[in-house]
Amino acid sequence: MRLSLVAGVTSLSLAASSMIGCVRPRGEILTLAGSTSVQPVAETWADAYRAFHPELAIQVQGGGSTAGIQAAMSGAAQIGMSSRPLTVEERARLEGILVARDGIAVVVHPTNPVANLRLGDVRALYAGQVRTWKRFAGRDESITLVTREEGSGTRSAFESLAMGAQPIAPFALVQDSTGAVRQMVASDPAAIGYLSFGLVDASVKAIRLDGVEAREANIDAGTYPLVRPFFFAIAPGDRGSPVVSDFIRWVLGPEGRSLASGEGLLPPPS
Amino acid sequence: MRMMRAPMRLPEKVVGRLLLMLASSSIAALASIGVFIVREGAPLIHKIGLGRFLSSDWHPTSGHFGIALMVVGSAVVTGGALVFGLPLGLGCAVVLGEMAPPRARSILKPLIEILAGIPSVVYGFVGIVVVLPWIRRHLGGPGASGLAAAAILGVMILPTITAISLDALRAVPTAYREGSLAMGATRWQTIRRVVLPAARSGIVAAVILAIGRAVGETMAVVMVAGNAVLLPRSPLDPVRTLTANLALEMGYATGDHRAALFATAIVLFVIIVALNALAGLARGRRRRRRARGALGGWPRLRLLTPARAQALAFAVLWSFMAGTLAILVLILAFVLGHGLPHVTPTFLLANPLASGRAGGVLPIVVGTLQVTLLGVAVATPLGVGTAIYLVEYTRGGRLTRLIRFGAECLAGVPSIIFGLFGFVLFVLTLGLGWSILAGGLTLAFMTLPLLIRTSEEALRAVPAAYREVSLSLGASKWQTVRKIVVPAALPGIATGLILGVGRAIGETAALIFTAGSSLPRHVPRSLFDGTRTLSVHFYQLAREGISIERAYAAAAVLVLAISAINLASTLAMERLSRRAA
Repeated sequence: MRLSLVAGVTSLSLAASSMIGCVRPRGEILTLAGSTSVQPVAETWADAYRAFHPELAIQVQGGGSTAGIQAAMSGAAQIGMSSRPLTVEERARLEGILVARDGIAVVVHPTNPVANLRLGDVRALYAGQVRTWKRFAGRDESITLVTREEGSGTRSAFESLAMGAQPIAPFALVQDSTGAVRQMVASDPAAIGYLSFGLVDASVKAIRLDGVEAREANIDAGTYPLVRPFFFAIAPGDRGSPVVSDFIRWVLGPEGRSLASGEGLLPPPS
Repeated sequence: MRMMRAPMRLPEKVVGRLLLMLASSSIAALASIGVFIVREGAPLIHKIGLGRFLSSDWHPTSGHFGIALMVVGSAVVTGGALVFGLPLGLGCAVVLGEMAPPRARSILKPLIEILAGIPSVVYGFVGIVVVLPWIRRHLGGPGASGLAAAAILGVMILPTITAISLDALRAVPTAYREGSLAMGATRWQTIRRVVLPAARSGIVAAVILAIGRAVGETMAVVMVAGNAVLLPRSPLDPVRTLTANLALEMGYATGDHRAALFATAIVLFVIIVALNALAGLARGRRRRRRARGALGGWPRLRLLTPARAQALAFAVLWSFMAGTLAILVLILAFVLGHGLPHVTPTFLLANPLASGRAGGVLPIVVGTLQVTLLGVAVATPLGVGTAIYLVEYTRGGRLTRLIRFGAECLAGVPSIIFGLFGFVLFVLTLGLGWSILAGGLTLAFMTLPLLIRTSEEALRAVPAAYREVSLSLGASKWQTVRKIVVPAALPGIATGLILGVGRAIGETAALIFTAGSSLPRHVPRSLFDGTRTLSVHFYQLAREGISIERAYAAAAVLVLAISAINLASTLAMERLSRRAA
């Protein structure tokens, strides 16, 4: 304890205050921020795009759709990533560009004998009107509903496309991410949940809706109903910037589209 | 720091001023967060009215913002966590402080501290994979439940209770024990009747901080509580806590919905204040009752001989210790067992590729260290300086109570709120962007309350006689503080530091908004670079389902790093205290 406390304190607080005074150095930086659902595909885009533009530093930050839109409005990020449509106020200040679509699969435990449900059955199930798998020729177990949180892009797409005017039953378990939903369903033989196509793996089983398989081709054909949009939100001032417009043109171009498909997403309709 | 080495004798006035400055910076920091939360949240309560805000109808997308059911959820989960965590935590503290031989203590204590360093996202993940299926299979229900959340939170608050109670026990003068034993009391009677009552203030502080931690915990609870907005009718029903609600919905919330979530944070303030008031009342009543007991007391039924009672009590306490260690071993075995096979030299030394599916974590490890060190380096002088000012330079007046009050309120504020505060202040307003700097400063804000509280407790535990002797030998006040009081309080201050580092390393929510979650391509080159910390990396990999193996590998590295830090600091502390002696 020979080290003088006071000296340490003053030097540290001086250092801290002088650091705050600095301005962040800005080279060629492209910052994307927002939805954690968009983040993985945006990382992939950034990785590939960097190959053409090694001088460009690309950051892909998370934080959720709202934080991303806030960041785009304040200029902390040039591109806000959103997996929900922009609100009216947000649209007054930012332009939303559809960059990909995300199919939503309804999943159950791999051992669940049920492989097909009508959309009406899914609705009855999530509304809490049907409580056991026996109704669908499944095992005699009470159903564990797993849903996403209110406000989530996946949930609002699921609600408007599958639930109609019916509210989701209050006793449904709520998880705040795709990975967590998958983990819940994978560990509970009686569970049902919904998540992005890209996340469906051997630990869960995607069921057919009205006999239609959860596949990209069926969304394009218009036979599979559950799909949500991924947007880039851009301030008018940034739209003109060559860095931003070039990146977006590339994302919407053939390479960006094929990378999106590789991530299990659908490119925007051409 | 070395260049600015202070002269041997600093004028007393300068020191007093400096400490006052530190204390007021701390107050300003704590106050600014309070103002931020109130400014964002209070207008909504005003707009919809307190009655509707406290109703049980929560449907934010249709404009209903009633939080009653979540208040119940928080109360149930926190109470449950205490049921698990308090006996285990206090039991471990008694074993470590009063029963274990010194050799055993020096091994057991750092082991328990490892529990404090395990990130809450890892607890949550272990909960989903291990605890929920177990509950579903053996007890029934959907698994995700109030019970699961309480059990996991109980383990998470245990190390806080143990660490701070242990310091309180150690601060009890040896003479008390000797006196009691000399009068023929057994060791257990001495512990129960003399040592524990003498350490009560510290133990109460431990419990309050633990409650704050439990009320404010988000990530682990979100993962295991099920989060249905319901009135729980059994421990096996899902519940949603106030903080889980914040963390669940903040990502997408806009307008009134977002304001309602901030208003939730105001409610958390109020709850912590009420708890503190209750604790104060309880303390007062206990003291009165004890006074009466000393006068007359009532006849006590004696079922056990003192020796039997001691054997029984010691057996129970040791079994608590064994149970705690078993939990630690289970968690470590699970994480390391799944993760270590994927920890290869490439994983440790390469840059990450393909969203973390390939490559390694080197820049992430470096970034984690930088953010954590920066946070602790800023918070330590502030926290310790504030505590010194409060304990040594004021007379426990209004200022002390105010700071203590503020610190305790903030201890229960969920980290996501600190994250949003840091996001608005550092990232957006000061223009630091997502950076190590913004992340470190946010962490400093977060750990400050803990550091103030633990340092204050440690300084208060230094016997007044030390100061009196030093002063009577002609030492100045600052010399006394610097040479006598602070060294004597060092173990307690270090405990706070270790808990603080543990919290900082395990933090996710606050850092996603401030240090960022962008996958780094290279080792950070300046404090203005953003980084993803290991906990955030684990969280991203697990939460978006990118790669479970790599998530386990990251968790394994994290747990090993935390164990290493604990070990190193224990060794350093031992050497320090030996030199001081």
